[in-house]
Amino acid sequence: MDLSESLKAYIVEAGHQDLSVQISGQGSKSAWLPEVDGEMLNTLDHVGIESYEPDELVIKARCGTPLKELRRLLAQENQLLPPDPPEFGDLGTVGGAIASGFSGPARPFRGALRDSVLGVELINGRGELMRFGGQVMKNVAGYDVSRLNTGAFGSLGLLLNVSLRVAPQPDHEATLRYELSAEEALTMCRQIALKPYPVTGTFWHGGCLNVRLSGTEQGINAVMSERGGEQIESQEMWTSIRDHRHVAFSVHDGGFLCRVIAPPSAPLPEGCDVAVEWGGGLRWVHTEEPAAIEAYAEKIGGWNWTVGAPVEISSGQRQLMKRIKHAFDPNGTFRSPLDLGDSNAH
Amino acid sequence: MSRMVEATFNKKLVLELLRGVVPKGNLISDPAGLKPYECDGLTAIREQPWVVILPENERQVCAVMRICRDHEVPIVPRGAGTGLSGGARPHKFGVVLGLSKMNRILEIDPDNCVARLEAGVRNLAISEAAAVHGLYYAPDPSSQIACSIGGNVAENSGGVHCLKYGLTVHNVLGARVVMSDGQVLEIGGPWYDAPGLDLLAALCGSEGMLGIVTEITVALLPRPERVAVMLAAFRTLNDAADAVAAVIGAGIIPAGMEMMDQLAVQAAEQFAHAGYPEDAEAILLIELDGTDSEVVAMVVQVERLMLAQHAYHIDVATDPDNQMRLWKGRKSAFPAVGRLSPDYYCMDGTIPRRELAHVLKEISQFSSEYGLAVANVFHAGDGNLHPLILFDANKPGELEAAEQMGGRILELCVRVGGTVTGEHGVGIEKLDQMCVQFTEHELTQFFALKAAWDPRGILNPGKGIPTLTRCGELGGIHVRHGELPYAELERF
Repeated sequence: MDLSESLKAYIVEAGHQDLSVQISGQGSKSAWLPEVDGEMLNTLDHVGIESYEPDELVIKARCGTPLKELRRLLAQENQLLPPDPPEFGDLGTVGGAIASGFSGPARPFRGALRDSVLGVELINGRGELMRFGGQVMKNVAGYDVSRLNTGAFGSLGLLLNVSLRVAPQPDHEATLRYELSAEEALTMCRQIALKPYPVTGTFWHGGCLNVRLSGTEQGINAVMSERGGEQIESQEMWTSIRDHRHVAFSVHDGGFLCRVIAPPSAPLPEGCDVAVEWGGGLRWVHTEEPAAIEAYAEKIGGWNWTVGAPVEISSGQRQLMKRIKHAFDPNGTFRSPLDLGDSNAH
Repeated sequence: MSRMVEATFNKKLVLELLRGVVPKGNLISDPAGLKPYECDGLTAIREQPWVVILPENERQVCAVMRICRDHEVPIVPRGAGTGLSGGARPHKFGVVLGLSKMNRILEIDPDNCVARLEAGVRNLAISEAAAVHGLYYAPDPSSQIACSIGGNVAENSGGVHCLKYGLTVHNVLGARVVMSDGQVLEIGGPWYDAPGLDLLAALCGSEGMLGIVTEITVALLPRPERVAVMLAAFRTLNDAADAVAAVIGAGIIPAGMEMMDQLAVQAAEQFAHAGYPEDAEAILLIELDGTDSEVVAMVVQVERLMLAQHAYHIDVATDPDNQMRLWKGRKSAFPAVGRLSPDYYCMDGTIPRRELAHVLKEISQFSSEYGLAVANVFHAGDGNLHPLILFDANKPGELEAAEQMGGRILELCVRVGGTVTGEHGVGIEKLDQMCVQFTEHELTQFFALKAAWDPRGILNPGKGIPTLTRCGELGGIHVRHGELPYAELERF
């Protein structure tokens, strides 16, 4: 159902009434950032695939479309979303995926979710419906507003629909497992990063490094004969990592889960339960002291995001982001959980 | 700050201040010295800048920026000046800020597969420096021997391999940016996915209008083990277009996939003797890369697909010499076409691939209508079409006809769901076409975004986004007598 016009009318009206609006899909990422106040604007009824051209490697979906539905359609054509965006709690909409910008295990190998975004249609805070980007891969006309909105948590506008670049599903997939300490695993990740192997995911937890390979049978066999390792059944494991159902993501009472992005070769934090993805570049750290992990992230030149806490952004960047927010939403109609220091806009 | 007839600032005072920033010799203000800076790769549009300043470090860039902000002097950033849309065309009363002296490779880090570079580092120099580790920087714009990484960020440059490896935006991790108030802002960082709004995405392709990039961190990739290049020739354009779809449909993403039509093939063959069959209505050049065993398997599969789509001639090059031969024709297509005609216009639209046959048919109709021949080269994998409109500017009316026809081609690209510029940028050249692609609201939004970064509008004013009052029709690279700017560079 195409609700573009009524969503637009709602936002125009919200502007007139000086309302704060919080955009929401299924709410599957609500645990990631602190709650904010605002009239809930739900996009779940704005659903549907506007176009899907498998040969063009592009699909255009309305924001309320379940991510699961999108994946099902792609699978029918033997295609996939390269960055592997998560479905937390088995839920998630296309709009929510773009707004949060999260990528899954394939991120360093197949690109980020924002890399797959070719175009968006959005309604800004003035209630104006606008199109940016398009359905083509190469497009340098105007500023890249589509990617700027990816990961913006709805702070700049309501994403009505998005055009995503998709990719063919490789013929073969295999996962190799190696029993390695964390340090050995990081070393191995660095070694394989220097090789043109068809790696599409790495995951280290509990003394085991798993390396996912996707490509031709010959290509995968060649890696296996060079690197050895135990081949395991893995489809469900990678989905559970992507969706955080894997045991490595379960948080005990009083504990926090920190998402630390860092240069892959940086050391791991000491004395913590850690899971490592992205060839070493993403560390999921369990802690009771998020401040210590914050300090650790800073020390190794990375970023920490404690799940449920506000995101730390440098003040210079925050100032600029706040001005950008103002450029799209001058009256502060959109109340986003991404705190850009604009919460006093009203 | 539009259309000034006289500088609005105290030239003598500002010049004195600028002289205090950089060593003598790094500030150019004499007409002879300014000459090389009159234009970038879009040579048809020239303007003598007021001064050119060549800072040697970020501190000097900041100082220049502060002076220009205080006195509201326009700044036009410039990398290597190889851009094709006039993005670095000077401002008559402005400063050209050239980053060419900031060309140090600060770090190649094989442990994290990244490189940290000053903005003036040449694109190719990155891969050369990383080669010792078996790594390279993937985006390879055709001017890569000369163009700078800072310019690549400004233009979001691609290259023939962007089908598989992406554009600049996909391969940049972080940047240090001198903002219009002279402050330095670090964006992104040493690895992927910094928190908050994706400032890096906004910066890539912003044509120097949001900030001046002084330092860039890029991702490096391992060199593929093996490469194969395949030429497939077809009797009809439709077969060639179907063959492209068949490759993608079979789940293969080649490193590059290029198409040329008959006029382009004939011109290229006569120029480069690459072994292209001149009777082909269209040819495809397909580059496959990966590990040894992957490439061997893909070549067999792609060859089968080509035959199934009625390819009547296939040539597979597995050794570097023959690969270079096959690429040579494609890479010399622009100068080759330049020999057929005194002048040509190069368009840069992108279209959904399924529209290719339809768009080429309409272009062919335009061609008859205007009496001007068109050669087409096409980044077939990603839909980026470069129609070259042949004309003679000395014949009355032909220039205007070519411009009008070019405008109609770009409008056609927009109509079928594409864009007016796939890779060359808007610059000064495609401002009019932007009016076709974007609505008033969208253009206004672009200006608001610009103002968030550059409130006083001193950075590259008048480029990239047309004002609402401006609306015309047409654009294109105007090449006079085959004198392609930087003729020594390959142009794809």
